[in-house]
Amino acid sequence: MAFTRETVEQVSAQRSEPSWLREARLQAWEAFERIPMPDSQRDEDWRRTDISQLDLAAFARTRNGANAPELSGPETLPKGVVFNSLERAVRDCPDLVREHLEPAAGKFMALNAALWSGGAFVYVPPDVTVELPLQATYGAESAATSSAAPALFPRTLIVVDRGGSLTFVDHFGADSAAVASTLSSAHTHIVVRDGARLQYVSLQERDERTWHFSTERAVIGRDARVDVVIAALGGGLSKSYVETVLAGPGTEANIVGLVLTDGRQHVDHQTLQEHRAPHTTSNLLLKSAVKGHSQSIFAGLVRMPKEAQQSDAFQEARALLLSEHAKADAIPKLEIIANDVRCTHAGAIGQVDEEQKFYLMSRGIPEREAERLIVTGFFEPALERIPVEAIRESTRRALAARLGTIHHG
Amino acid sequence: MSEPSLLIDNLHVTVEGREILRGVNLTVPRGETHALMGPNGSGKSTLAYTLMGHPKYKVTAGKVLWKGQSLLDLTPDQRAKSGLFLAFQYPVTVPGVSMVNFLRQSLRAVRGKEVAVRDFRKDLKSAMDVLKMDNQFVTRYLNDGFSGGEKKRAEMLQMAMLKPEMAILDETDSGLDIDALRIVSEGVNSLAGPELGVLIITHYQRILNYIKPQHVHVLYRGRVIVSGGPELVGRLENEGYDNIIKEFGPADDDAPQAAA
Ligand SMILES: Nc1ncnc2c1ncn2[C@@H]1O[C@H](COP(=O)(O)OP(=O)(O)OP(=O)(O)O)[C@@H](O)[C@H]1O
Ligand SMILES: [Mg+2]
Repeated sequence: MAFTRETVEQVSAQRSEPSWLREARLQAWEAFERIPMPDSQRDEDWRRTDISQLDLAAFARTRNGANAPELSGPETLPKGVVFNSLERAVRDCPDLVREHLEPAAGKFMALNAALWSGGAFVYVPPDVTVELPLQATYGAESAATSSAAPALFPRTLIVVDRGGSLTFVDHFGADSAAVASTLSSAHTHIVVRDGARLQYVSLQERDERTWHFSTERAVIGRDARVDVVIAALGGGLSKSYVETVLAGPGTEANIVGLVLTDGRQHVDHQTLQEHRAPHTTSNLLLKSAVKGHSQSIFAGLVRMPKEAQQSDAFQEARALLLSEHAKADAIPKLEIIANDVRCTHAGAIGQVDEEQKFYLMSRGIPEREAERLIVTGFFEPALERIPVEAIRESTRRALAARLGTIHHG
Repeated sequence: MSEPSLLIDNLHVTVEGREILRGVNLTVPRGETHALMGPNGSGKSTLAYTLMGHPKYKVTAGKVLWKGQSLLDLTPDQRAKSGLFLAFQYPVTVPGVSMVNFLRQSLRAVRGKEVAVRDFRKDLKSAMDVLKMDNQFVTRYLNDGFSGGEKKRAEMLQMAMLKPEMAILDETDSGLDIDALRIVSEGVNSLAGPELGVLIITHYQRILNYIKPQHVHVLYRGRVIVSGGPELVGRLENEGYDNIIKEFGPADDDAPQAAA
């Protein structure tokens, strides 16, 4: 076994961590040991994503490098804003970190909680607006630290206090020099307090040999609004939990997912829109364009317990199959107990429209370009839901770049 | 001036296994304007699509020469690059693709080189002025939510930008109000000249009062049954197709019944 309890203790000791964190790590480690490896035969969550080929023993934790993200943003931040590594935040503002340490749920989340280092932390004080986007770029390890393949544990904690406003990007990048398959197990925890606003982006462009597991979870307070963009363009196999918890009345959550894959890529998004208060609105749109033998799975759960009266939940999943062997699957799931709510879902899986392609070609546009335009157009309504222009444009660029590589092969 | 620009010789075309064109012969010399008329379902659009290379329309016999070269081996985009243009009877909606992006890409492809933004804007502005189109038009998605008339104007805008040598206008007049018809016709005329050949498919005389054809062809059940001068239009308008078909149509009615 490449990871042991000693590894966890070492990670903690090297950083002279406070005992509460050391305890939390060890508890997470125990949870990891207790939780069996996800099994597509047995676990409903994993039914369409088979990881029986994943051998955790082949991986070893990298020393730091890739776990310590490159943090970027404007040179000066408004007074009181903290933007630093999570490791540093443990020392500088331990109470804030401790308050938001979540108990791990699930095998990979537990592994992350036990072994993370580096990480990113943002705190936006009440009524403070951070105008420009902040970004954490988690690279990949270019050279294996030992004979074992590298394992990465990115971890981001975002706290936007009452009435604050922030745009934040988690970028899970690829390293073209990556030599071996990589394990990447990421966790982002987001707390948005009453009346605050957050635009959050997770841009996943991992190498195609990477196993990427992630949980992005936002807990949203009264009258707050969160816009989440999940762009999954890379990775060999990825499984992501994208969860929004609408915890206070008047809360709004908009989730836009973009999947663009090729080759043997397998992308699985499991989303949760959990309405825990009345007058809440959640709106999810997932668009997948899949080529080659790639696959996009979407399982979306809407939960509306009886506290969620007079709430609205929408869910839409659309897929465009760009080749004969590409696959897409959408499984909406509703747990509705409240009786005065609106909940709708829509979905469709289609192919590139031949009439559209012919029309574009009749204007001189070659077949591939025509197809590319149609795919771009397919994503456009999703991009238009992104409220922050800089993010909309950077997401559009990332998609265009991926589309460029897809149409090359 | 009379060298044939487009020569269609004994063209047979099937759609989904059914023969629609059954030996079309038609020649449009360089720079001339010809009208193609015929009852619903006679195969006019089928001919137009076939000339543009729609993959559903299979040529089973015959040939088409365009500027002396065989047209049928070319892909639709190559045909566009060679100077052919089809204004669709039913323009296709492409959601998410803005008119302006599409036009730039199309122009770049047809010209085979990058088009300077300033020149592009200038050309676009003047074409839109001629067609009396509103500025906001080009920021909208291609044909998405356009009214029937707006779609037809948008087709003409594309034609004005691409400057083809031969334009096939498939019922561009249908769906246009009287003012729009005049504006669009003037637009076509402003592009016409010794260079532009036009094959105008229509059911009505009114557009032909603006765009004057030298020749008129009548297509019936997949064949051109008569070709004549502009006077044929008047006769059709007055008498309908019955007499013409009686006079020129096939004696043996061997055609499969055309769809109503
Ligand atoms: N894509 C297609 N699939 C099936 N049938 C087709 C297709 N295109 C044309 N047809 C058939 O071919 C015949 C000729 O159609 P076409 O559209 O060419 O007629 P048209 O002369 O343009 O008629 P209109 O004046 O109504 O536009 C019709 O019977 C039509 O149903
Ligand atoms: Mg027609």
